[in-house]
Amino acid sequence: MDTTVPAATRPGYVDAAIAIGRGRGLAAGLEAALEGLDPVTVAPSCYVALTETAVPAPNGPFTLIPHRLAEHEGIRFVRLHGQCPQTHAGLPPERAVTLAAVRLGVLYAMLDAAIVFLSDRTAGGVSLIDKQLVMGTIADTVAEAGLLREALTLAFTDPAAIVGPCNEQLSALGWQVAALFGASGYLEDHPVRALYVSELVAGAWSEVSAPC
Amino acid sequence: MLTLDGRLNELRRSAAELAPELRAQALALDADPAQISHLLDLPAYDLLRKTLTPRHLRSGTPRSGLLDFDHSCLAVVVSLLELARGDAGLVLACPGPALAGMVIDQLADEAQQVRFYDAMADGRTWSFFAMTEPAHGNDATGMQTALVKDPNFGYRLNGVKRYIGNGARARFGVVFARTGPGPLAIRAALIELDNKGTTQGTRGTGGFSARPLDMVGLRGARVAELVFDGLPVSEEALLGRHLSGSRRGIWGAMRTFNRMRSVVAALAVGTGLAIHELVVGERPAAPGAVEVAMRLESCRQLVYAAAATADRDPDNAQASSAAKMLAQSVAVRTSRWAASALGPAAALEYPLLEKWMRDVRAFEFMEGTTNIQRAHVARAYLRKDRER
Repeated sequence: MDTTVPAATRPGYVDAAIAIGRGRGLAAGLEAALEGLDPVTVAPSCYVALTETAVPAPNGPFTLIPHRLAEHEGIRFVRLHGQCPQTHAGLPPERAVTLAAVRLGVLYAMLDAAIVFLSDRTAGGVSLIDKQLVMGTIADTVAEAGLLREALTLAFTDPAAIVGPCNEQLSALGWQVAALFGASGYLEDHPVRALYVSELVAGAWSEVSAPC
Repeated sequence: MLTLDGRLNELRRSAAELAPELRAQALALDADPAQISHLLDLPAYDLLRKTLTPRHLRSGTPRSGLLDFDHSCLAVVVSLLELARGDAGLVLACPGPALAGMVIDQLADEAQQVRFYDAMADGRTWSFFAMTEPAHGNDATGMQTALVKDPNFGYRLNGVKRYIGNGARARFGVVFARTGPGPLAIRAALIELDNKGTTQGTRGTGGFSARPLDMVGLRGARVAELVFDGLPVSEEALLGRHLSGSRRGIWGAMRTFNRMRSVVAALAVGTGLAIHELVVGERPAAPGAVEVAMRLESCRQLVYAAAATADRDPDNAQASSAAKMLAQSVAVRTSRWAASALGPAAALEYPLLEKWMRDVRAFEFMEGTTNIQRAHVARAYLRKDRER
């Protein structure tokens, strides 16, 4: 392995993060992205997204922001008090890439679920999965997701410039996939909510710190 | 560009003045949609109810001559768009005729209209419109809910309807169901439910139960699943008995959808405008604000034009489908722009923005998804092209 190349540039690194998102979900992916970091130090604003296991002890200098959908996903939003504002450094580049790749993995998982859902439903006697407009959406999503994976493997060249647009595109694709579930995907207890929550999580961690 | 006449401009101004009182209640209702009783006397709700009631059936004290406007789709759209700038969730939570009234306008005879609108006038009575089913959505060809002949009552209603706004708190409802195979056998029934067996959050009466569903957004609408298990329905409750056989059921539904899509589009544009207003209130020079405003104003014009088309040509699906498809998309994109324009964690810092980010997605699923609208627009255009 070429150890002169930063970790985040290796396709294996990105693919590993995608696999976490796809196989273990958003909370596990967020945990991996924040592992070993002090959220207060790297928080881009006074608000952070944490896994529920990483939320500081009660009575600390923070306020929990209730959010039903995030709570379903094992994620909590926190408003920091006294520490705000501090350095507002933002996530280190490789962690920002990790988080975006995790989001891509969650997207793939939900796309797989959407395909199962669409295969089981019919309209006018035709399976929804065989409708051309639906197939077109799936094709667009798969192609765009592939492009995002490539972009993330190149993100080391200019993380601040690349990761932000990748996250914006992930949000757009996330909504595209969520819409495939029809109104059932708009129920609070539907797993596709993870795509919306991932949008909020990415918003909370949207800044990327300058590389050392 | 469509120019509003004096009465419609007055209606628009009145709705715009009342919108802030809806916005002030938006987050609380989103958090707990069941807590609505203290909102029922809002002046905005009075205006909304009057907007949705035919002119000759309106009652109550006029507010600065505001009873004096037509019951046109354009008037409804003008009013709802402004009220949605307050909050679309509050708009959809309002007791009154709502979407059911649009079916009543199309299919009910005079006695049924009087009965329905008299009941709605108290400001305490909700109604629902039940078309969507769990397995087939709005696809009428797959509809399974059935009105089965019964010698004692006329019919018994069996089936499940899903994603029905205000379904768990309504006393009146319009339910579409089959009386047999084929599209002409689809009929609408105006049902009135009694309150016996009401329990916390879920109501059960003989042959009927309603279960509120926790939705991602527009939670004020208190969307529900309705189960009809042999609910008695009299012959007199069927709508369209005074109409010809081909115009009793699905024809009315299609016409109603053409109006409803303009209304949903108006709610989407109103929400988009609310989001834009929030952003420029916080960041007057936010990048892209001028372009977003222009896009939303263009959408407003498109929605007005679609509503005017629905008034002039009720069978025209193209205009309302195009308006709904585009307005929903523009509203979603506006919400995403806002989250970016207001900086890191904007959705967490501004709870109304986060709420509206969820709300705008609901419009995709109301009265047909984008793919359905695309098919309507394309078919209508191709039909016109062949006629040329």
